[in-house]
Amino acid sequence: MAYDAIIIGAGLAGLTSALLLARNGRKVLVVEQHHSPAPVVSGFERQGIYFDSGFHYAGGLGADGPLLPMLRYLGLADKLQLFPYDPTGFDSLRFADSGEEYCLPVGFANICNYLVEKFPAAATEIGIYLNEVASTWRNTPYLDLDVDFADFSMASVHGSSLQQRLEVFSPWPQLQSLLSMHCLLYGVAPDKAPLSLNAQVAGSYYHSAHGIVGGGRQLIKALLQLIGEAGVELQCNAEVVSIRAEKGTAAGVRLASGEEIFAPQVIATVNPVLLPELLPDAGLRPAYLKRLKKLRQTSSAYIVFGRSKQPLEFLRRRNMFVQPAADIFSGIESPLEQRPFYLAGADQDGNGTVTGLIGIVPAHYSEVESWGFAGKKRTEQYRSWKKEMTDRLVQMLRNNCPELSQLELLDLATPLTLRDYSRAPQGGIYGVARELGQYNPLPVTRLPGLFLAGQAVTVCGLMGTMVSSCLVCGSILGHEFLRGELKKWS
Amino acid sequence: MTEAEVIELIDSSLAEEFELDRADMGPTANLYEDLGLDSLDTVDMVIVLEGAFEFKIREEEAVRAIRTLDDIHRFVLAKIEQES
Repeated sequence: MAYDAIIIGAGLAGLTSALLLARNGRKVLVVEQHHSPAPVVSGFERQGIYFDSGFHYAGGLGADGPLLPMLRYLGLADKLQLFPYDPTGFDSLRFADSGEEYCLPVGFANICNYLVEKFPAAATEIGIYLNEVASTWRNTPYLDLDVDFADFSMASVHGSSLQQRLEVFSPWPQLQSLLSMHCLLYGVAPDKAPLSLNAQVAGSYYHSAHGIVGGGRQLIKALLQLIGEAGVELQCNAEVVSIRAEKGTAAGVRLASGEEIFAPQVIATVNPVLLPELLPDAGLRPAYLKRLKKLRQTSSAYIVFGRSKQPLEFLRRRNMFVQPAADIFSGIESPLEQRPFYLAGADQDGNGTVTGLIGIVPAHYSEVESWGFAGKKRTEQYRSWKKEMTDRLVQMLRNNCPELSQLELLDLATPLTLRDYSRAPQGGIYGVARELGQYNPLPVTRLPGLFLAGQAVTVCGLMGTMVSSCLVCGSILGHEFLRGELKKWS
Repeated sequence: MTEAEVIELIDSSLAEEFELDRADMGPTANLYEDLGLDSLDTVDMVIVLEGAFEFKIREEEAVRAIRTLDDIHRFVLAKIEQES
């Protein structure tokens, strides 16, 4: 079989790219190292509760949202049922020391009114700041279908940090917390996070916040059905060991089995740090390969999957961020019990009560590095350490949230789990970081026919991965063409 | 560092990191037409220079205007002068 393109990785970026190309007549093969597609976004079930492990909620899907044309064009809009998060409060924030709680409503104007009511003395600055976010968050190719793709820009590399921008709010630490808490959704601390990154991610949720009925599992199911109908082939248990280049262009991939598959275009959705190993003799510049190898990763995490006998209605259509005390978010360097964390209700779209909990506590890979496991095998000693961590984490959640007094743990993901399931070195929860001073790779490379898609080339989440797929497929199909197609659905 | 040493460090760093032939690297050599670089290499050129001279390059317009090896020499020399 002759393929036009081979896509490495059947995660969100890989499946979306496959669908975009196949819809436009390309013969596509997706190869995935895991035994099933999208192991992270597909989530899992424990004791009858479905837990999402990759997708939790998405911004930018409300009226006029920039992701809607993509979902419609891809055919996903008809297959997915979205549900809005609570318009009166989609993300709440609790300070553990005082028990004080805030809750952001949906929509820039509503957020502005709410914050001005809570912090009247900061009214003018709140207005200015939210206007900045509102006018910049979608100012990027494919979120704005009239913005051009630039292959060189220093703006997000040398701009201000979120922390610097929020200094103006230092008389109101609670406000600083509220405006920095979404850093947990992209895994970069506010002192390193470009202001534009925070605007993009937080701004998308300020615009609108939605869940998908059936969660990430349903999203993947719909994508698999659509790529099947479009004639895409998917091969699992197929680990790519190298990307082939011939006569100065991409030529295909070689699998661990020894099989070689040829195609003039290869889209890699792997963490770009891993790319140099896959490109032994592609003739890419040492400077580029070194840059890829040195890319810093987002923070890692412990993810608690639990069940509560007491219903968790406080998490229905709403997440909760918890911080030890009001301040600009930070804390990955703090002892476990003093870190901020994030709670989401599992399996919450049905009519039943919410009983499943997903709790995400930021972590550093160094906390598990000494175990040194190369693969997925673990030792008895590790299991007893994990049990200890589990007890500490559950205790920490219970101490900060009386609502979780009857929480029982069903499973725990550690930075090692994240490393192994998403193939992210150091278990970076959102892959490569987008941080100040770092030039992330572009979707196009100096090897003709080789492209990169996924969170690293854009931002994290459903929005980032879909935009990255548009950037890559636009490079192949023509940006003007793809934007024209998307405009028909906007 | 003398001017000649600065130029030598620029040329040797670029030769190594971009696998360029020193024989082609005269000051008037055009980066794109003579040395085979393209706009996708700009970021890596910036990073190589930042690493070699331990400064941060934030001059986006000046970098965009670079065409020849001599443009790079003059850009780096001016920056060193500015920072001292």
